[in-house]
Amino acid sequence: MRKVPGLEALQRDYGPKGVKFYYVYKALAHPELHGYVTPYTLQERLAHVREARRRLRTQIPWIVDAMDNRIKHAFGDRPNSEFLIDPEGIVLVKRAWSNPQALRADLERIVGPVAQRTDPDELELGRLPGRSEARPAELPRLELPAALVPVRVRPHLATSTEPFYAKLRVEAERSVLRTGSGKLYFGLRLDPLYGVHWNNLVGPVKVSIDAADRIRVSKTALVAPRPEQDSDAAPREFLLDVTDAQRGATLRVTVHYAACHGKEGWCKILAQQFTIILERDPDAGRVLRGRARRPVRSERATDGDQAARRSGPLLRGTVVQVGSGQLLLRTADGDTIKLRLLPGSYAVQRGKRVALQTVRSGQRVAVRTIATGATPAVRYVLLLPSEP
Amino acid sequence: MHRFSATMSTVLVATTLLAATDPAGYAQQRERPDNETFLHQSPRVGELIPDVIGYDEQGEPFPLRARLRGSYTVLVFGCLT
Repeated sequence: MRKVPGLEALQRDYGPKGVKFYYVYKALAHPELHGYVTPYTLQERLAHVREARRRLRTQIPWIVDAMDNRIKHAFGDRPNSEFLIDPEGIVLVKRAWSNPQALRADLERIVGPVAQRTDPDELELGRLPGRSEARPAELPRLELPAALVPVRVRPHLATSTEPFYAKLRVEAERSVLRTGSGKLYFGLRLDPLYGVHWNNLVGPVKVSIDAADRIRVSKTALVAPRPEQDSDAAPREFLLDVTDAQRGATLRVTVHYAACHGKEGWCKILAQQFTIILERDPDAGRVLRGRARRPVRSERATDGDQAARRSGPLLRGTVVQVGSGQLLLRTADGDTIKLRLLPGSYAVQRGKRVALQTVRSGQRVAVRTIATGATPAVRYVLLLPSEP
Repeated sequence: MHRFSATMSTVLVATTLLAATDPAGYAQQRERPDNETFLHQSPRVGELIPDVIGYDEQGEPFPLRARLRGSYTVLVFGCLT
């Protein structure tokens, strides 16, 4: 939301001219940044919007995406994209990243210039807490493997009368999704919007693995270290080894903890259930833990339809042969890779979808694959311009 | 009304042409795979926005296509992080 001042200035200038402005609140791009964690319910997402309004002191209203992230998916799955839409609902301009300066130029061209531009610096806006303002960890953080991939976590909301004060995030080593073996990371964070803390007098935070389907786990009871303080709000983290994990394997887990609210004066002992599905979660965002753990390009979440959720790496190279249900691609390393063509495979030229027949031998392409089956399949072929 | 429609058509055609013939913009975007995904997974310039329903800040349903009709609208995606 670094573009907020520029956008708010545009709203002050063009709101009176009848242009409507909305922010669209979507799934978190970087969970844990500023301390915020992924909401589990629409009510929690609405609370995030109230928090954003309170912190940022903005005037532009928010539209809140549904919990199935349908707006995010329908509009291209970017964290900070922007669209200018005409009164009939037609897209006039779209950008993968919001650019208030360019948007002002668009509005000047389409709606007309304003007599006096609002200076973003003169708006009395707030800001989100910086990373350095986050509470220091009371517990040492785990050393984590590189390139973890978030997997799907389904809280059993209907089984608890209490909110899920602790939010569970599960990430898998890349090898778990590829070969079925590797490390699984469990991170539990208290949702700061509830203002609660762990009660360490009751006992340590525990995770029990109640059922494992199509996967073996190294242990079924995880116990967090118990800090010396009576209460704290530090994350609780666990690592376990898994083997023989098949695609779509599931774990049913229960998180046991005691949460207290200092101002409201209550403490509750809770046992809340989750199902973990060993599939990449494209809507889980990416935790910024430092460069060492930045996922490689092929592992970054790509959202969209079901096929996109299984997207494999983007391969660049030259088409050797295309047809008979397959595409042979020669990469820059000289390797020739065979890729299956699916009924839904398509080509993209200059941002527009074109027929697959447009692809010719000798053409430079980037191929988005789908990681399914023994032979990778083609999701789409991006036609690249010829080299000069 | 005719004048408004004609103006709108001109704006639409001009914008579409601008997007289609902006080699610098295309060159900048094609270097980023994420943007390539965005280019063809988001509604195209000149297309109607998707008919999806979100919520307003009070949690009431907000059908985008119906609620955004009648005004120029700017949508910007964001979150707390």
